[in-house]
Amino acid sequence: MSAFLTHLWIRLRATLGSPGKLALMILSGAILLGPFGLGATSPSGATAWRLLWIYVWTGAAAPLAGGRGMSGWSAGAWYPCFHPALPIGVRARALAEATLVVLLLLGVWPAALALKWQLYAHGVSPHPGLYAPALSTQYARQTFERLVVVLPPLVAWLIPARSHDLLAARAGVVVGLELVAAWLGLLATPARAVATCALLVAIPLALAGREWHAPHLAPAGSRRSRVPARPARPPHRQLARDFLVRPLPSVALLIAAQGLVLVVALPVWDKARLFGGHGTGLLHFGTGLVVGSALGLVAVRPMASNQTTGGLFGRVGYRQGDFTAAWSLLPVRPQAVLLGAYLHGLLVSLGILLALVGVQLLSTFVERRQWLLVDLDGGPAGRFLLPLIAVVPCVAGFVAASAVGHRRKAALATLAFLLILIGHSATILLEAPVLVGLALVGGVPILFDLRRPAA
Amino acid sequence: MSDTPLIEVRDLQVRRATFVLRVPEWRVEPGQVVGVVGPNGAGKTTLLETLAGLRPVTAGNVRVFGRNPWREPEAVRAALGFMSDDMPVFDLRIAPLLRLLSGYYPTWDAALVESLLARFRLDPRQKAHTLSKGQGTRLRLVTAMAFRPRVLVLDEPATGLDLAGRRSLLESVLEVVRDPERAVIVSSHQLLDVQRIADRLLVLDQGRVVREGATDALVGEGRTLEEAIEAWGAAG
Repeated sequence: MSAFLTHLWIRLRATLGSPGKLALMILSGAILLGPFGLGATSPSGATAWRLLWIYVWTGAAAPLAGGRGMSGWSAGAWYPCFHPALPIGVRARALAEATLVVLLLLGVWPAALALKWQLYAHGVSPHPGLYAPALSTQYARQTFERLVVVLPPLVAWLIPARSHDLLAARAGVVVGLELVAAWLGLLATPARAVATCALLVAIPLALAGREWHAPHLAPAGSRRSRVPARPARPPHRQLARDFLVRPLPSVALLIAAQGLVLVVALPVWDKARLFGGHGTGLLHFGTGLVVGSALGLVAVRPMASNQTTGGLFGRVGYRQGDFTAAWSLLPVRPQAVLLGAYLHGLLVSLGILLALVGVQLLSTFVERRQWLLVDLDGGPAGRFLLPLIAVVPCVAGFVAASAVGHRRKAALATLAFLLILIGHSATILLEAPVLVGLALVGGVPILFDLRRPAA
Repeated sequence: MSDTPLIEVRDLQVRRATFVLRVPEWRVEPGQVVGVVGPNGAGKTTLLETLAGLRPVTAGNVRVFGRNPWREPEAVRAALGFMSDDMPVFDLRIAPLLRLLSGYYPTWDAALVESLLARFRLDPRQKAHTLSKGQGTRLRLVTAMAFRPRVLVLDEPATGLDLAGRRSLLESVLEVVRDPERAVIVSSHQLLDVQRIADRLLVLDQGRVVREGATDALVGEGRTLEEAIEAWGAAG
């Protein structure tokens, strides 16, 4: 217990002493708790989206709480841990750092409440029905429930794993279990939510360290395999080909995943009406997961390389600009590598957007037997989806900036990306010039790096 | 042996923050092994990176195969292998990594790759990012040599290498220069190794050339390179 409190106190002081990290946590926490935020106990389709956001948010907050900033995405085993050899157990440490996040969220609560009241008073609410009972006491209850729901994925992110993929999968399983619990009504009351989430916190805690005994997929051995060469092409053609071909396995995997989502979700939605008719939630959750995965697995990984974001986020074994540096000795122009990364981001994010439109069309067809781009309420979905094209250059800008290790330009692209998404989804309708401006801010600065000083 | 120099440097100046490297004149002929030595911060890496087209010159002239490496990096790097323990490699397993690289070099020699992997005891199934420092150095050596470059530039190739690794490195370098059309430039603090394999030396200190010439003539009878460098005041 004393180790828990000591670590909590040390991490709290460290976080409060780091304005950048604190501001990031508070801002994102305001989104989590605020009027655009998450009521995970609501058994509606929106629950799935909210839990998806919790998954993403906790994945970002965990390394901040663990002391590694946003740079915790490491292939190393002790990914979330800063100073892994501290004299504190893995479980106590994870709980202390999760508690730290909850304390900071509680600190955000008054500001979020004030914002909620302000927006409600001005009638700026995308879902008026959702916020109508905006009494402070009820909001306090909602906040409590949300904090409870945040804890299991936080703990899942904070317990070290053998690899980042395992870590993400573990947190994903916990969030998936929360989704099922929400549909089964196990998060409907504070008491139920506390009991359910306590159980869900206990699972990763109990399993901490077990995966180290699982067999590795790549067995070591002395058996030597041949190293086949491939036909050489003119370097610029080979580069273009590699940019196109190498991400294909990831793309195929995602298309298969999206297909599975549709195959599973649409019949449920269309006919069986399982989960109390919340097949839409399943569809949207699955689609959201696939889109998130597509952004993480394909869009920001040109040539399926981790070196773009790995260096940017300080992942162990990577440095900023590793992607272009790894190309620097090959007989290709550095500008071509940068341009390839930019075009990759552009094409993949555009593909994701088109896939979203396709899913929306398909879901409308299943619902109404008509190929229309309308949302669930029958309103024009194109009005919501099409302006999102502004994020496409932002993704491209981020990918290219990550490739050359330009943190400021990557941050600029990320900021523009988030402003478009948040501003848009909050239906603070962004005017076309604003969208174009943000798209330019996110996508253009890195293109100046295409110029190379003369020798 | 051809008389055309593989590398020609005239009145070179390369500025890096407050540091300036100056090399008035320097040539590397086919068949030579040139050792570039000097204390930390002497400008060895700056010079080698300039040759590979990784760094622009501030003034003067650098020609590799008669071309400007900064302006024509494709043509230069198609025949120049550069190895530095500091350079990142793609985050793949060794076999896919080498296969990826092979598509960029018409001169890629798969049989040579096999023998280099065996010599440096690398398992093609290992991930590049899980290699130890010494293994990473060995992998970089393989990637630099695999396409039989006309000029092999090695920047601190012995970093992290054990005795067997250093021996393999020396054997590989000597094999390269059995071909009289090729040359090796090696920068290292392993002075005994440099003295053993280099037939010419370029000694740098604080960005200036202290000595340049044939190893035997510069070092002299009965002296080691280390003693000679001490005597020249270029020991750092």
